[in-house]
Amino acid sequence: MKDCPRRTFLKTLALGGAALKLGPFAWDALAATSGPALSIAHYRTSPKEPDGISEESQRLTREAIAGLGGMQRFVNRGDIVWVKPNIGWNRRPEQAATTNPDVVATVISLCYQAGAKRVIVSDNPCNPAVPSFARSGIQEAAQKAGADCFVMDDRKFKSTKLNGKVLPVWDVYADALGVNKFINIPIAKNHGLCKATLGIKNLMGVMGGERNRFHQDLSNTVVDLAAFFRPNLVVLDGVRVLTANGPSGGNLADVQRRDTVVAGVDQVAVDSFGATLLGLKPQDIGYIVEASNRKLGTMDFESLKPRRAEL
Amino acid sequence: MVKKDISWPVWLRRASQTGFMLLFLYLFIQAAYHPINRLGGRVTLFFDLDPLAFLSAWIASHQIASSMLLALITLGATIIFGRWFCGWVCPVGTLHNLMTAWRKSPAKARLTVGGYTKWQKSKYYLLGGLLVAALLGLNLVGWFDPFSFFYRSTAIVLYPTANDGIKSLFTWIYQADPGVGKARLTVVTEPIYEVLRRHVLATSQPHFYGTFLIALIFFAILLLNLYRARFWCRYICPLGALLGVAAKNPIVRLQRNDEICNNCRLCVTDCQGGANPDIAEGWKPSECFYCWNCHESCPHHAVTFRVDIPGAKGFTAPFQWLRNFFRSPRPMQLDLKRRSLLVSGAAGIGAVLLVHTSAQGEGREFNPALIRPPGAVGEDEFLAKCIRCGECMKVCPTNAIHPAMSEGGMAGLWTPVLKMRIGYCDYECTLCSQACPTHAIQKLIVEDKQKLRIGTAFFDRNRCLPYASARSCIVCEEHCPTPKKAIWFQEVQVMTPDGSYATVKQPRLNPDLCTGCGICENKCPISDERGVRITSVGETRNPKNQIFLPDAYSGYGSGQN
Repeated sequence: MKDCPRRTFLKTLALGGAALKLGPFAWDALAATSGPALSIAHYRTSPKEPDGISEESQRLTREAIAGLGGMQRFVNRGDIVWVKPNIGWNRRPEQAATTNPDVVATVISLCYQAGAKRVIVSDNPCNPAVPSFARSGIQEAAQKAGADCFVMDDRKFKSTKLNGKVLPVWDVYADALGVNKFINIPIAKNHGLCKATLGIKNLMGVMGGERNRFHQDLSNTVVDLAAFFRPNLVVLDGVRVLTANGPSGGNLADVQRRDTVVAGVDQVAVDSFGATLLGLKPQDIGYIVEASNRKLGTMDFESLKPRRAEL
Repeated sequence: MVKKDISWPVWLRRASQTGFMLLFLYLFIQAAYHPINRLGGRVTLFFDLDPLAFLSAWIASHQIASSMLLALITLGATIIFGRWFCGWVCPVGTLHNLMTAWRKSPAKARLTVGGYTKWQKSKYYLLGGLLVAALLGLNLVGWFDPFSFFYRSTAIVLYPTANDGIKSLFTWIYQADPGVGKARLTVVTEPIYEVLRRHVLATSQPHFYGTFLIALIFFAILLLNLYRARFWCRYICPLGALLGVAAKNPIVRLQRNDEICNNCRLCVTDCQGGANPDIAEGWKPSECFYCWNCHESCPHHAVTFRVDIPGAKGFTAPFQWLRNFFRSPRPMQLDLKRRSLLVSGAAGIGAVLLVHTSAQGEGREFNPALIRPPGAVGEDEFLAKCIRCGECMKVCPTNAIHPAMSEGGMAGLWTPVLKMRIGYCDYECTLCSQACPTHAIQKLIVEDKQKLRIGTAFFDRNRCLPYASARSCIVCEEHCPTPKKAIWFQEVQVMTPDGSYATVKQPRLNPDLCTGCGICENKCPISDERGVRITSVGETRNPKNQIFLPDAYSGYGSGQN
């Protein structure tokens, strides 16, 4: 278990595949196990001007995904890809409450280069959706990159069996399930209750219903989502991180540069590394511990021998 | 009998009416995010053209939004040319026109009731009462102003119901997914819905308080058209009355060719305004909408409109025209009675006194639920400016702004109040201040709005989960939008029902940072009575409705010495 728990775990799943109730993307996750599980790209300099940050974000994203073996490892010709950035708040990119739009756009371009038929980008924000999509810069960037990015259609939340520990059934956005591939693109930021919002917490954005009840047992609820969705790829935006007053932020003094983009197939490992970007230990964050206990991945991201790139 | 081919002035009028109705609806849809804190067009256009809204807000508050100066064009054009506005521009008039045309009543019946009656003077008395009240600082025009009436009814009743109806239909098709073989109906319906959803429908279904009353009044007024043609325009509309006063002496006049006319009186059967086209020298310019129906229904076209000044030939015409303003021939006069005017003026004064002496008059009592949009001016000035049009309710992206029922007393009926259980004031948004036609909600830039307080949050420790149920939650703190959060928390050990201890984060408020935006109340998971609630106290606009010493900002603990 200790040397490669994820692979072992997935093999176990594969053996019992037909009998087990798998998450919607598990088969693809299985196909993607060959190659590095975690890739970290870091920029040596910290450009100040917008164009520089934009170029940095694009290069870091390309490099991080290249470190895993390139997008073609995850996206095949004709795939329909769901891309889930964090568009949770009506904030500007430099406030670091939402995912960097250049990271999102780069992932979309790579998907199309790998042969994707259609890329859909959406989120169910906490603030009003239309301005959040616009102000975050993600809608414009995603549409420019050729993706379909529009606010969610509230008819399409469907009661779905999650078979989770605390969430047996919940409303999920149907279109996010009707795709071949699921790519999660969170941003690393502070969160009052669970200390950090990272990839696993970001999955709340495809859920409907009374999400504000998740917080009464946040570790278990979001890990139920992680166990259900099992994204094919997680790309964590750590170019700017929000270190206090999260997850909504708003104070530029709380934003710090980490100039890092992490890509991985192990969502627990990505989040564990993400925690360190915020000066936290993975063990501090309830849902990472819970996900690790449920063997969804490893907290000990170093054990995956992450590929590191310095640009 | 009556000729069926319709002449070009009537077609032109219909085209104009259709155009302005479509413009009204287009601007209504544009009153939303486009896409970041900007409206999609000049959404206040019809209110800017409305001299009644202009006049009442001006005499009540002694201030006027510069964009409303457009109303002077309407007024000036009406003085010179007549009340074309009602017949050719006003979308409310168009609506009543449609209802009137839709009813079926025999020409014989219309012959007896189509002409002028003295009841048409009631609108002038209503206008008089409203203006007297406005002069004393209370602006009740919004209850009767046609654009306020129509916009409010559209925003609160028609748009939400239409939105729901369309959405329900497409949702039903989407869920039932009917089809033959592999061909599915959704292949056709879903792209249509997608276009509607992105450009026409509301992003999320609006829900309003007080819809029933507004719907009832709207449909009652529509149905009154079945009793008399354009009932609202003839008997109630105070804007029509104002334009009627202005249109006493227009240069475009009805002309009867007495050589052709055989006094069949068919011209009066379709007269929309009750302007007596059928009586020789009896045409009432103040009641005429220039609909050209008289011209249309006349078998011999003996009635038509001409630029003409009675008793004037050649160069004396301009002087004669000016003279007519002071000594007009009898049919041109409004014929208002002094006693009735006194009664309407007294009613206006009475309304002001009633409001002054009510519980909420002059700040004797503050309703905790009277939470006004950010930028709203002080309550007295607000009631002098607000025309209750509902623009702010339509644009609010979170559906937070609702028509008040009793929150602001009777005088505040249908003025905007925020209901945090339904929406909240988004930190980065100033749409309502941009959409307010009379600046009852002042124009604000986002940075200034963020410094304003519309109320204050209070935790109900008997309900809030970490206090009352020993559970974690802190959703309020998560959503609190101020750069340094106004909600902070303390980690506390609390006993759970089974006797063990749990560590929970109990939320607290820093009232100096709280803007009263209400997102905490909105997102609180206790679905009925929330564990944190906003009340109006502390609102920036009202120096009396406060809690703390003015310098409480640095006041923690300093009172000990």
